[in-house]
Amino acid sequence: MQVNITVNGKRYIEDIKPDLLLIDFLRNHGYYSVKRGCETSNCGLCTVWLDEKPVLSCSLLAIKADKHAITTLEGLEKEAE
Amino acid sequence: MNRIIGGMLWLKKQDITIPCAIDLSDCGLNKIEEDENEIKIGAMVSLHDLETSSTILNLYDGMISKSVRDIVGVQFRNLATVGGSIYSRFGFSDILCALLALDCDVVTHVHGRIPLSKFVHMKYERDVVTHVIIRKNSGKAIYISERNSATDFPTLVVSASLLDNKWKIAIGARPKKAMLLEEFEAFDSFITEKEIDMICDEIENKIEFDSNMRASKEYRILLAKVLVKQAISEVMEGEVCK
Repeated sequence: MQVNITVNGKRYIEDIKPDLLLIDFLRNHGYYSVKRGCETSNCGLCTVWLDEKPVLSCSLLAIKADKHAITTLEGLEKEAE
Repeated sequence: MNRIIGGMLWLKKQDITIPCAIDLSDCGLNKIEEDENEIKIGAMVSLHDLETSSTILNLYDGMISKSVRDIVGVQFRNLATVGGSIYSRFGFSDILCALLALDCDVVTHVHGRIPLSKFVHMKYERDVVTHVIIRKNSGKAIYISERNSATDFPTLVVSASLLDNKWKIAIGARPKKAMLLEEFEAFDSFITEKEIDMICDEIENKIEFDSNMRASKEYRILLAKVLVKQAISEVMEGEVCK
């Protein structure tokens, strides 16, 4: 399935497996700030912003982020400085 | 078997293979609509959107918003859906217990509009919950949950309402799913302390409680008596105990 996902302002258009989770999509692209903590949708360590709403990337299919903007901690580096 | 994935939070924990996952995100079910008499909540409304909706906050002093705010975290509630929670009828469900005390219906594809009190006892069928509809009756409704720690599953939940002079009390996380204390409907709008004590003494005979890792059956029975008394008192704005 083809997705169009923007991560920290950078657009990715590519074919992915339908069961790929957003956390794996992000880590596959080097966004290692997104971590798998509990695997039970509880801990919040995998949190990213989906269009500025915090969501658990471990519990969201990457396909559901199609045509949406994702922000990870890497995207907030300048703000943090 | 194909599945509607809802928020996918509990579904993800199951060890199953889903050949075709169906997502209802683009079906226009993510709206909360209000008219003079009712509030219509789409199945894909997230628990956090429900919690923060001004329509829902204005209903019975935010009773429904209060019922979902202790569920895990905002990130979780941004994904979990009303339809998924109501269809699943989980024992630990906060929102199911809260809505049971209200004049609430469920709309499903197969059955159309049916009372939530009926839906809660129905079998898990191949059906789609599309909406939850709450009638805006006049009165007061409150929700109380007891948790061993914040954001944990509840140990016991109680919701109570006095709407159009009719009482409804629901008890959930028994740990089985929430159910109504049917006998309450026969009571007048003002319940005396003696009547409350009588009702509380009967709770363990009317409602089935059990033990799990969060609490024993005996503790839940004691807790139910206290919370039901507190709930009635709060609905009557402290006028009980005369």
